[in-house]
Amino acid sequence: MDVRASVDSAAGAALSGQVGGPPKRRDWTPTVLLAPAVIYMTVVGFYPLVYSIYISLTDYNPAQGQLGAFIGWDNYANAVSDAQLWHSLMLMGLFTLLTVSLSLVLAILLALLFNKQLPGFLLLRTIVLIPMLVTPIAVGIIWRIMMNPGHGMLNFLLGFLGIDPQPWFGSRSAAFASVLLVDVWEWTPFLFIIILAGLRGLPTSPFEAAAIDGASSLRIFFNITLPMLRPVIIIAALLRIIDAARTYDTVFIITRGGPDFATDLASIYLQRVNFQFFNLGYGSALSWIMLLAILIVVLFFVRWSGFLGIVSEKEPA
Amino acid sequence: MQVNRRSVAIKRRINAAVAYVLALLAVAFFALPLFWIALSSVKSDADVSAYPPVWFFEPTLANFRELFVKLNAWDALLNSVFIVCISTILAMMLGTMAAYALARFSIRGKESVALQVLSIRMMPSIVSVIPLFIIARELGVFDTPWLLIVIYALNGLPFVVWVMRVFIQDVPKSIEEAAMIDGCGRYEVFLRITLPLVVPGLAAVLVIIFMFSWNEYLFASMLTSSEAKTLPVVAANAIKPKAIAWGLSSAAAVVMSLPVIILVLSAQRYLVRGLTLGAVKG
Amino acid sequence: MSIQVRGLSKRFGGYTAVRSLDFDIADGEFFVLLGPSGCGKTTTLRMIAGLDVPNDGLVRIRGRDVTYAEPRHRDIAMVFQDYGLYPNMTVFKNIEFPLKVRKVTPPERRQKVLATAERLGIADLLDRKPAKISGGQRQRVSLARALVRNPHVFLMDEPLSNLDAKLRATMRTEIKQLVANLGITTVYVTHDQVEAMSMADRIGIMSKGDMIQIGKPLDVYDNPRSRFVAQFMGSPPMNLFPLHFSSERKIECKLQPFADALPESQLTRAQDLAGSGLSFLLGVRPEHLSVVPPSTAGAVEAEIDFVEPLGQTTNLHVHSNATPFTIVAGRTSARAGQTVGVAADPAHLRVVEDDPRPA
Repeated sequence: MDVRASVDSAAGAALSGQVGGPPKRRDWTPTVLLAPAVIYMTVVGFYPLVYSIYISLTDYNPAQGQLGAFIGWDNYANAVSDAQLWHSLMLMGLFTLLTVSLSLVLAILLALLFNKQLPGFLLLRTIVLIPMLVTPIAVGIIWRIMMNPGHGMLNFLLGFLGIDPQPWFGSRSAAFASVLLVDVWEWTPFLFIIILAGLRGLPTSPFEAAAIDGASSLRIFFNITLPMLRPVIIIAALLRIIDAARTYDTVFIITRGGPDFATDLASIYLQRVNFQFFNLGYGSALSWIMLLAILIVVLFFVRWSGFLGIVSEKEPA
Repeated sequence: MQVNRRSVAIKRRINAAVAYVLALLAVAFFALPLFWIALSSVKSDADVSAYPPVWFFEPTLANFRELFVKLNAWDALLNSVFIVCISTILAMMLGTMAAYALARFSIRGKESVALQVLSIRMMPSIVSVIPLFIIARELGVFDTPWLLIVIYALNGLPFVVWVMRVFIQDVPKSIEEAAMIDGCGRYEVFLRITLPLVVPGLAAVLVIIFMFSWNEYLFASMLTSSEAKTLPVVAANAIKPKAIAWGLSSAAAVVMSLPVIILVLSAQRYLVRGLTLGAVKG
Repeated sequence: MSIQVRGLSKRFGGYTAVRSLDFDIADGEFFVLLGPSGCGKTTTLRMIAGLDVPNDGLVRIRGRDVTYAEPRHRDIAMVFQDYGLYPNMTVFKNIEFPLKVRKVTPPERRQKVLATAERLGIADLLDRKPAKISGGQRQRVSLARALVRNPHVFLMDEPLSNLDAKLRATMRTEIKQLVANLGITTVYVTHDQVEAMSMADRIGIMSKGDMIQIGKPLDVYDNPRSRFVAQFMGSPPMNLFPLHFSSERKIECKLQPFADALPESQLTRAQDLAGSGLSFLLGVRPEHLSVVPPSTAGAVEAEIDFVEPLGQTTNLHVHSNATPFTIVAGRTSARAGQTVGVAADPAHLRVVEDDPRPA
């Protein structure tokens, strides 16, 4: 009995903080482990954000010699009537909607295709992954070169297929479409790999039961596969939405926001305000508005997709 | 309906053939631009802007030479390597410790951490760039690698915490408890028992945050000017003028992208699990 | 004949999962494929279902060659080990699915689903989703979905493995009665010999891809053809002792009194096996041994090693002549260390082929 008691108290002391045991000494372990990260995030992450809010309430503009006099909500008020801002936010929203929808559809189709265990598919699958690894700046370079109207690879290929050469950045709609194409090319693999993993993780017996019940492939896809994949698709889409809204690098390289502001996404407009015109006070305010816009988009998506329903569905009866 | 072995075999062959055709089309779509840029990077100036495009030519390393000599790409490469390696290690260390704490101990406000991590993700970089720009100038760390190291580590932290927490939770508590009864202290258990068991997760997370830091452009371009430029910044500069230098920028694209591609492809096995755990389980 | 299997084989790469099976299943019969994991019973079931395509051989259902036909054209229904329910559909929609696929009209569908649900006692669960009901209830939904189509053949792949012991016992009887009432031919796969004994009309025991013995449960139990079957059926398993003919054609065994008590029919069997150059064993089930005073005629003298009182019965682990074996007796005051006599009921002494297949 004595031995057992002393083992109990030793284990109890070691585990205290987790299991209620004998002498409850304050276990500093979780604090020690968590503190560095928390302190780091507060100092390097949180503090600048607070500072940013402050700046947004000033007229700080080093280019014009204004050194940050407090002007309250003026920046935000001006933002409301900034047509350029709303234009760029709208473009951001449209861009996000289109690129995520298109790449989602493509990714699902690819996942279904590459789910087959045919020889060589592993290698092909690996190659398909590469676009999302390439530095976005490099992606911009690649496509800008390929889309050159006169000398580009793309128009050459189209000519090969008998299609007229396209003015990839010539017109406003063409430029927007081009930028969309590039983003879809770059990020479909990301969605693809997540959805493929989800597909692989599905139980096989419902599908075998469906085969026995006599369902056609189409019916199986829409009534069984897709609903079972819904949680994975929604989470993948959410991640992609958050990133697509903040797209900057590729668009910057390819069109710089033009022609005629046709591809002037919010991130590009903000970059211009802050680091070309150095209107940092105003720019800070705009950046918070952009964050708010993203938040709204995300909340809207969460609501529409039933994201919260998924989380609660995972709870057992 | 009479079905025999031959018809089943034929049907299988046709399905496979169709699958291969579609797969090759997909690969062509995703790989062609990459192939083309690799090709372009070893073309001479004349070849690179020739139209119709040339497929057979004399390869030359002139572009790479020009890249490293004229544009100081070598310095940029070293900067990238230094900055990204250190910041990745920093993020991994801080993040894994925090992940362990969150996974094993009941801490007040644990659930809100998950939400906070998600909201940090939503933040456009520009929100932090501005204040950091100002602060960095005042502190005198503008255009130093340390600034970027600190920022990249911060960017990677939430992801490390998010994913490693899931991996650590997968390690049964009973193994750790057995070790503690055998005489290990808490930290020993973390280092000698838990960490070795989550190596796949560590590998996956490390590669992913390495990639995101390596490819980062906005912070790097705004917070450096001559000393601490990273590769993406230097490459973007090659495009500044209206007429872009095709060969040069192709070479830049290749140099920028190769390290990550090699790194990721070699750690591929671990990656799928890491990414999906971050997405699905989290 | 409801189902006929001829020369059925399946290989996965270099590994043979099922080797040339031949058997028939009669209309309305409850046929159990029994065996340890890896014996090929599930693969066989899947080939009957059409989920796997055989390398050789054929499968006939109701006289029609369905070897390469798709599952949906075989008029079969299947219950899976993990139930195979459609997770995003309600119980009602799950049961309704096979009918929907066959383009049955909505009112008729509804009526059939409700009737089947009633019969299986899950009518109050129709609006719930599989994740929100218990394992036993999921089991019934799975059965309902299989039943609603009134198929010609019922296939079940270890449907009770994921249930706890008590539930398993109740479901055993329920399934058997259900299927018997409807008269549906059933092929049932399990590794649990108790399930097989209690439910089967006939049992087919498999090991490592081969069909070892087919017969009615009590037949297989009483007359195992080989060591594998003898040890697989019954708990504790049949006692087996090496047996051989001496140079003078006398039957010899370490427990000689038992060998001497072998009936004529078994001796003949031993002679046949010896003639074919096969080795054999003397088998007697623990419950057919009894404890008697040590010096009783025809009894073996043994020392008790270990006593397991199980309430209704007692397992006595004894050894004699350096050979350990087990006796199942009623309540007894026997203790470890005692020397007792063990008598065998001659009618239940068997000669069993020494098939070197591990159980």
